[in-house]
Amino acid sequence: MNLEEIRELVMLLDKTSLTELKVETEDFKLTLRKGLSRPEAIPIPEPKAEDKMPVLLPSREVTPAQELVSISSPMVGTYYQAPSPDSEPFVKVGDIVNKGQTLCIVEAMKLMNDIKSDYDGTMVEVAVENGQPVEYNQVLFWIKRS
Amino acid sequence: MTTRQAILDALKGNPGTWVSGAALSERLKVSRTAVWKHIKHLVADGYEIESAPKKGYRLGGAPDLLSPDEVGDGLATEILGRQDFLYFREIGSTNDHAKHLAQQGAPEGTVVAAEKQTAGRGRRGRTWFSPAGKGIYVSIILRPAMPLQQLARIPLVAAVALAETLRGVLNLDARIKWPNDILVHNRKIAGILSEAVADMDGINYVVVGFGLNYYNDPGDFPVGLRMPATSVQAEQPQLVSRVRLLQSLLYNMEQFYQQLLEGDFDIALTKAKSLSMVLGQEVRLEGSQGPITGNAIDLSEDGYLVVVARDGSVQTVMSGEIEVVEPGSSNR
Repeated sequence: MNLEEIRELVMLLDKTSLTELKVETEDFKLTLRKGLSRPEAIPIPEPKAEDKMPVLLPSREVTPAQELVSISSPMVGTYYQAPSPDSEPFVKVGDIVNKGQTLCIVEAMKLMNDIKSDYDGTMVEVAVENGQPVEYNQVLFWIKRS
Repeated sequence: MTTRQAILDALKGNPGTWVSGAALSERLKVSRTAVWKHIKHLVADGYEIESAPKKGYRLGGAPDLLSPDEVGDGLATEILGRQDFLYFREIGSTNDHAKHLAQQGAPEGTVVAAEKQTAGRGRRGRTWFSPAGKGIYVSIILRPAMPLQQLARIPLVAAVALAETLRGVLNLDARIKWPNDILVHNRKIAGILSEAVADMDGINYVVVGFGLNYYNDPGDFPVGLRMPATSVQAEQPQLVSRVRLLQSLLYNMEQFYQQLLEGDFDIALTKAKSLSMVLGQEVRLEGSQGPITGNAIDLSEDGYLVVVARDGSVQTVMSGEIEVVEPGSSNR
């Protein structure tokens, strides 16, 4: 497999919602991953600094990427940031979060699913707006592990 | 039958008359102190038991308590309420307690019942009116071994189980306001609060809470409820005890739940459709993607509401507050 073919695969991965692509032959093995947690896994030449789009949040620029972990929605539904419309959000950016702590509720068919943190760390990004629909496996939070 | 149930049976078998502690002790092969301890427990559960020296014990009135002794006697379930049945004269919220227990590893089928809730909850911070002895406030713990994608079927199954129970036991015209409010004659008689802890690895637990208005007088309900309320007593003078109703509810819930686990959701879905009070009606939904007005025509295979919106588009809805648009107010 030559560089051009790899480039094509990278473009393909980028255009889809896939986050990981594995190609394996007898003498060759390539894994492409997309997503903020493992950006170093994409084997393309680092673009020049001026080509980079400034899309990263400030907190991420100073954070080693491998420490960032995500929490995804286990179901299709509606995202709620707080237990009731009048109460404070379960969590805000910058909060210390603990493993087992409730981060939000995802509701479908009036079933309220408490989404809990799998990690101890600091909330870096809340990726969804209150009251918005979310998809299965959609990232809800980015947490910097401690 | 437990010793406590045997004592209760003996007292119930001699209504209004004294049963001596010595006789109970002899019959049940336990000490008189043990008999006395069980009596104390029963009194704490709310039974009206008089005790007098040399006479013994006397049960006053016919209790209709949601205690494990009452509900367990004649309960036909295999899982629900079989292993752990927790009963409280007063509690904050049965759902909160059940979630707490589930978090600590309580098994599937655990039941939490209460005579009164001081912080009875609905969804999204709403309260559930829970005066002492007037309703059935009960939560059950489930640990369903099924795909995550089917998790949201549980509230619908619970609604069908409760509506079928009210229809079967009390002959009430109980109908389901999608997805899981129970109404009789357009008034809300019961609510269901399903709460889960599930993540991408699977379902940890689900707590299903039922709040059923039972002995309330129509004037008892607080003003300003979102929906007009009613109770079993207000709708059906030919009452059965709360105990019998709860036994039947737990049994029906278990039946529909088992079918769901076995992959058979169609029976519940078909019932949900036939008992629905929104299908065939013009409805207005306040959903996460904005308001929709249109005709509710069907439930999807997952129980989602299928609405033909006014612009002709067909929308499948799984979330949102629904109201039936009454004829004459269609300008909304």
